[in-house]
Amino acid sequence: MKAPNLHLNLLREQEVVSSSPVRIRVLLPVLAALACVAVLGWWGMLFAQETMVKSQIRVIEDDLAARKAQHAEVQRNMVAARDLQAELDQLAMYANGRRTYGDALARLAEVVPAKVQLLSLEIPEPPLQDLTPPNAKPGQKLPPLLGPTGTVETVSLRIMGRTEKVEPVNALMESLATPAFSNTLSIVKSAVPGEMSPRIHSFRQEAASATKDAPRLLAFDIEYKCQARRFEK
Amino acid sequence: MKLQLTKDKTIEINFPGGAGAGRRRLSDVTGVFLNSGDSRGCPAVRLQRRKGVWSVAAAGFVPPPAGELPASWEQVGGQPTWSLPAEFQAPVAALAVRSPDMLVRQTSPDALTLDLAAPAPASASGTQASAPGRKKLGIRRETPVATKTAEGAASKAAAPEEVRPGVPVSAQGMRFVMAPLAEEPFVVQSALPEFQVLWLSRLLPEGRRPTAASVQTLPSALLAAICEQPEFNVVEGNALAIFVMKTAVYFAAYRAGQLLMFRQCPGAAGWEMMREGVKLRLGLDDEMVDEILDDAIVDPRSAMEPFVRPVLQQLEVSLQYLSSRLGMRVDKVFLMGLPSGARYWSQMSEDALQTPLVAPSVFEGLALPPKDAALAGLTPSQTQVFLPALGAARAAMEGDE
Repeated sequence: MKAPNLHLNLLREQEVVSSSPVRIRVLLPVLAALACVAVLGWWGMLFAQETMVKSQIRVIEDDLAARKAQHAEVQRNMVAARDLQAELDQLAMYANGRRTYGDALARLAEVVPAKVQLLSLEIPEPPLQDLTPPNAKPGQKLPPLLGPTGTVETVSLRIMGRTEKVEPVNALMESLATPAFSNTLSIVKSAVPGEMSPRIHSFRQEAASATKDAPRLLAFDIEYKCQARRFEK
Repeated sequence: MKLQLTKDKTIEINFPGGAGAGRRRLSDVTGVFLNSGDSRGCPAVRLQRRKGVWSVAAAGFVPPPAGELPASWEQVGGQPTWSLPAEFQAPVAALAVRSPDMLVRQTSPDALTLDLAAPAPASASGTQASAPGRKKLGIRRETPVATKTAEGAASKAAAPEEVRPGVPVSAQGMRFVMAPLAEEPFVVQSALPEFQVLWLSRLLPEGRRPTAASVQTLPSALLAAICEQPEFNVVEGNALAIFVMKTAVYFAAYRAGQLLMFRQCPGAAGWEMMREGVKLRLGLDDEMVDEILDDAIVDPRSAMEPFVRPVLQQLEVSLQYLSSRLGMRVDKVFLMGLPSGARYWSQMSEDALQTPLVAPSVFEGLALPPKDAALAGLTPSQTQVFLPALGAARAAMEGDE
């Protein structure tokens, strides 16, 4: 059976009112409250974000401060390591610049002719190097540099002695020019006197001897350039 | 979704599906019978529908509104507001009203058009522009359909299809509504003076439960009252109902549940006159009349006969009309609205027409509130006073579908 439509309603649709309409006096405060809640929520979000950013900044700053101390420590350690490494390098350079003359002097004893008397064998001290740190102002007290400023130091062997004739001296010089001494002494033939090796400083007759019969002796002074000291690693 | 600013500065929200403050599927309606003339108050029934089950949430009498139903535009100004007791505060209310000015009839569009084309009496049409009640309510007169038809050529304007459906206002100042009957081209027309409808529409104020969703005349409110009767469903809606009201008797025939015929019984004055006759004939007082009419001790049929006979004659005419003209066999004849004496009506009908009358309780087929023992204890006769209220609520809920 079909449901009957027996509703003869005399009311117009626009006359039907609601028992629960949304009234303006209710709607406006609700909307205002919602807007306030939205604004407060938005502010809350901003405040939370700001707090979070500030917290992150504080954490980063604390971390940065801690890392600064660590960085300074690292820097100090790096400086110390660099200093130590420099010292080690200097030591290594000194070790590499060390020259030994024992063998050469031992062989020298074998090749000295009988008529030659050596009075002195001298390896002169090189002039002191300037160990003042670079860019140091005058009067400023700074610790000196640990190592030499130059990497090459010239070394020479000065042989002084006496003999009766010229030949033994020549024989001695020839012997010193042999390869047995090439590791120690360098032979340089040059027209410039300062660069020659060996360089004869003097070869002269000595003054009258104390006894009349005694032969007159010749004093010689010869300088050999040795292999340079190289302060290199 | 539609936001609408109403006249009293409220916002009404209407959703596309019909949900919302303005239009919603009705499942909880309080039907109230206004101007019933009952000294106990206005009969009211709160009808609910949950998952297809109809139930009565509350039934009783509510105090009537402060003002009387206006008899003219001048009386509309003193508009009262009304509120119902808590148990009747459903979302909406369906008002059934008994008015001396109401009009409910079966008619045809041709006859209706002739009526609408009739000149409007000045007192009824509300053409007085300075009517105080009208001004106070801010009512704007709408162009009545009848005026349009009267102004135009009679043949063109009087065509049946020119009559618009809905709730227009006739030239006589009657707001009317029509519904088609199962027998074409007849319609049933219900009308009430416009000022009374406006008065009723403002009786239950907005924002307070319930508000008026339906205003129906008493006879039209009766039509849906028997739809949930089990016996009505047993005969699949093929029945005839006699609605015996206080001052009038109505016949309504249904075919497959659809209204087929509606007419007011001529020459019948209703149960009030019958009670008075019985009271006078048997020498009873007011309290004894109903007892005698419902009791088997004294046979009051002789006293009832002058009042029942015209109804039975019209019943016979109606049955013959339905049988011969429409070919409809009436399986059941319901007798509704009679507060007492239904048994004797049925006996007299059976004697005269071999047709017994079925007079069930109006709450038959409806679930009653389990806590309300008094309601469940009412006799079928005692429930008849709620028939218009129940019918109004039932029609409002059914008409919303």
